[in-house]
Amino acid sequence: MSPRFESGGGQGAEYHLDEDRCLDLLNGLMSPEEKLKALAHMEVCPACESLVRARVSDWERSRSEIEEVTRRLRPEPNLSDMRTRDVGAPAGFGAGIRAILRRRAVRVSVGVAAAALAVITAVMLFRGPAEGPQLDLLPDISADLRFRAEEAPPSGEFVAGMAAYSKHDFVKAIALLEKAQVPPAHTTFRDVYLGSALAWDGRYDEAIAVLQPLVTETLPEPWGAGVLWTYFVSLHRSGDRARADSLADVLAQEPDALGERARRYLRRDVQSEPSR
Amino acid sequence: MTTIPSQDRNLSNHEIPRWPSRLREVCAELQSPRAGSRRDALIGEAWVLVKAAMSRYLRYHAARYGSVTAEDIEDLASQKTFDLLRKVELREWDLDGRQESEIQGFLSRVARNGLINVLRKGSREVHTNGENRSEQPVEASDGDLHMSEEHRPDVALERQEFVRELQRCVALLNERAQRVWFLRVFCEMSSKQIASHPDVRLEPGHVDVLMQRSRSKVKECMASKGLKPEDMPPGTFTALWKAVLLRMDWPV
Repeated sequence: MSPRFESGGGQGAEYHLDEDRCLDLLNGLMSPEEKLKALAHMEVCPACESLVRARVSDWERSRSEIEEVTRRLRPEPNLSDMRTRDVGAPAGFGAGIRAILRRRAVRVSVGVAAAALAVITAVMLFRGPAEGPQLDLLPDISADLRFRAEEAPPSGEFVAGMAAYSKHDFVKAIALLEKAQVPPAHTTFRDVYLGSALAWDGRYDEAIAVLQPLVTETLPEPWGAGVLWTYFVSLHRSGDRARADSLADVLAQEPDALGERARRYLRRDVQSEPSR
Repeated sequence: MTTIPSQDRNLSNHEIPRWPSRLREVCAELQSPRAGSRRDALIGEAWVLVKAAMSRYLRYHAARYGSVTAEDIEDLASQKTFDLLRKVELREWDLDGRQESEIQGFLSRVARNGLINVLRKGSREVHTNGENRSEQPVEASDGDLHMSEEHRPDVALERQEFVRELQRCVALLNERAQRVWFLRVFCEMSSKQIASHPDVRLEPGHVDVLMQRSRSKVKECMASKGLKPEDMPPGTFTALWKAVLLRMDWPV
């Protein structure tokens, strides 16, 4: 296809970019020749440069929203599943990963005290800045909790703790969720968010202790993947690289988004350690 | 040969744009049982494509039907795009067999109807016949702006020197810092937005730290050359965009 510019040899007044061409340029839908021509023109045409700059800005903002959009577009899990700890494993990712975790016995039955001791030692030795895999925020369901009050009235501390989490006030969320008296239906729920808040607050050893019993639970998505990833990041950041890498190996076998994240982590890790 | 009036140039198609056919391909793949692990990547591509197109049509219709704020356009574009992607997932919006112009027309109608609803709800003035306002899109190009003085040798030389020096200063930053710096300076994105950008992925607090350090480095570097980074001449954005995001033409 010939370049979609008006005639004029590239430097004349008839040669300009428009909205459609901006879209094609940003989407990588121009041929290399067209792209070079467009960029060369932008350097000498303030109006076109201004138009493209505005579109690039919109474009990059949209890219920042992708993660949230893909999360929101996932089929909505039924929150009532959170209280059912022994439901049958769902098909696909969740079932697969948990089956692998059970089969390999990722040492989740190791006593919390022994694990905490090892972790604390590791933290003291290796704790550094938060680099490497990044934590995810769990969905904000504080509003939903209020609507569910009739079914199983949550305590005020529980609701306030969830609200604090949604506002990223993790210190407050931890204090409230730790104190909250919750009915059995909300125990898992509370622990999932408490573990996440602890990790976000940098208290990785405590996050590990809280999340450890949950990693082999059958939880609906996105909480199931959220628990696994938070647990993995906490291990990594606490300095327990051996366990983190071991878990990443397991997660990387899954074909889903979480598996892809684990594979990315492993690839980067291997590249950054040439002595291996 | 027919001359296209300048104000219509931005919305008249000299040739068929390619983004509608790309959108059709992405949606078809998304609706295919084979989408599987590619689903998130496809949704991401569809999101940026549809949202950009929706924003474009909203700006265009806003100029005809009534004024709205940039925030209104942003909110409406996000909402309509999200609704459409949901419909793609539910197979309620199928682009299979649709011509590019049909796709464009459909998105334009969705934008127009959404805009009119917003204007009516807000009791703002709606020019339903589009006659009370300029036909020119919100950001249609101004012919005078295109008549730049950039071809003047002295201006071009000064610009080239500034851009070259700025590129050299930015090149002192590591790749991630360069991206963060660019997204803040040229795209005016917030720390939170930058933090969740797929090419950055940092905690917002780390973005602030990185940005502060990067800004200082660039400023110091430019000051040592007797230049101020804020005095950017036209052409700077393009040169830095190529270098930082497109990874093209780094200075030697």
